[in-house]
Amino acid sequence: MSGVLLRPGPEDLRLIGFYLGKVLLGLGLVMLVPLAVALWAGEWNSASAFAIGASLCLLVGALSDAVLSTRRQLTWAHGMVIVALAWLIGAVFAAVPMYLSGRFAHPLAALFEAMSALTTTGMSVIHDLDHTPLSEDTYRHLLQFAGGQGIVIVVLSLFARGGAQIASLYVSEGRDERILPNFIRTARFIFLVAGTFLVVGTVALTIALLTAGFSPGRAFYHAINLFFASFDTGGFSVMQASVAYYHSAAVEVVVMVLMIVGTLSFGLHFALWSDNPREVLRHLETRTLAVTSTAFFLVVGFGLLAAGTFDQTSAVFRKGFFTLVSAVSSTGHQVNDGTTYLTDWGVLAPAAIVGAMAIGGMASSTAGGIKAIRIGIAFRTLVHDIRKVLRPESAVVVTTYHAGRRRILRDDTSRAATSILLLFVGSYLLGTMAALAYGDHGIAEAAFEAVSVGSNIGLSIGVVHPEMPRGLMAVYTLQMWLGRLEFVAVFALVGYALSLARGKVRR
Amino acid sequence: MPGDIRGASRRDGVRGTLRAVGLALAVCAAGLLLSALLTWVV
Repeated sequence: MSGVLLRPGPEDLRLIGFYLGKVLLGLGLVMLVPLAVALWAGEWNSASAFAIGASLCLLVGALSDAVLSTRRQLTWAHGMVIVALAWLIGAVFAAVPMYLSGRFAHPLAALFEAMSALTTTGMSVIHDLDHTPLSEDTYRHLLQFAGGQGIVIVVLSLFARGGAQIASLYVSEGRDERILPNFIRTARFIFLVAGTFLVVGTVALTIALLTAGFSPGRAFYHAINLFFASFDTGGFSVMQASVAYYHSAAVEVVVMVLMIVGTLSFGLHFALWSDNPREVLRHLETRTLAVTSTAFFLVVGFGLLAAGTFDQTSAVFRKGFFTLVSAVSSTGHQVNDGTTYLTDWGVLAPAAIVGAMAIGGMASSTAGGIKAIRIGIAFRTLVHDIRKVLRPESAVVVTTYHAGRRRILRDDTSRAATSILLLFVGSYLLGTMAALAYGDHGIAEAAFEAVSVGSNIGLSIGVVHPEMPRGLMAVYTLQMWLGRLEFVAVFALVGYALSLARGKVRR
Repeated sequence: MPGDIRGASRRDGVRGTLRAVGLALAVCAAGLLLSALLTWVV
């Protein structure tokens, strides 16, 4: 195999630009929703910001559609580059109305917020969240929904001529499980599941909020935003205090259910829909999450009780278990002030939460983190290697695991899983070092926040705030981008850029 | 409908949604049980 890089030609760049234009068109359409809300609510400042943002996206999208239209087929390399750029350019354009709203200290803060939304991280650096206009809250939560469901899938399933080309985009998003043979149908199934839960979840949350004393209108508004933030494992909140604001066990239970359902892979949702519920229990990912989450919760519960933070079952469940579910699902909803992880939670409980955040949820879901499937495969690889050592040299050792069907553990699968795992660890180290470099935080806070950002979780111990250093904000933004795309697409983009500069011209 | 979403009926959707909610509630129940156990032990 030749190691020579081929320089992409003008047609390649045209194709990439064409698809990025489609993504911006989709983003422009998303902005029309908060624009309508702003006009309805009489929020004129926000309305002008959304009108400018939407016009910009729709104009650039329409221009690229008119000028760059091509019938050239997508390759894997194109798909990777488009996805990596879509999240970056999408975040830049999504940040425009945010910055224009005047609620962010500088453009980088608006970009951080937009990246946090699109990657379903849920960290926020907005000023005065409790008094944010309705339309701006709607926009932040809607962006999470768009990012969670995969903005690329959204746009391409609406605009693409056929489904075959989308395969490369879909896999680049870190959702490499092909639920259905046709990607358009897969995207539709994903939306069918999300749409069903949108109705069920919003109704359940509205009822829970009504019982908590909310007026019907306010209950519905909070419910729909809470749904977007919970099911899409995003973690944004309408209120600064997050879910703690509601002081309602019913709200917390519904949110927990939505977070758990949101972290189920769409493959498992498909199994539940298609009369194959046993698949959920047999899947390596479910089993890995069951074992790791139980172990982590035992540590969290023990840590909280031993430290004297709580002494009642209800408190251990509503604070400890909720936070664990929030961490594992990579949502980031909080039921206590972030600083109390450091001041009141002792040492063991926050350490277990960091571990749970690092692992994250299931692949092929909106959850972030290393993903349970990779931890499961890494563990099976370890078992495989130990079995090989213990058996005679001549023995052929075959290790299997269940993921959709019985699969043989192959070297390339193990290598891919452990490589991504190591890259996540690298991201956590980068974020920790960056926070330590500014000297404002200790190692525990720095590591907690770095893992939370790198895994697209959103639980915050207090390092992230509107006035945080810009350099740290930039590093966290990079971590969110890398984590959401699971590194590979970003590396492919870097490789593509290098081949543009140094590659061999095609003859 | 196994293997193909094209034939998914409203009943499949309701059943799938109820199963997912049931699974999530079972996880919550396990969490509550473990919380009670831990409180009792510690």
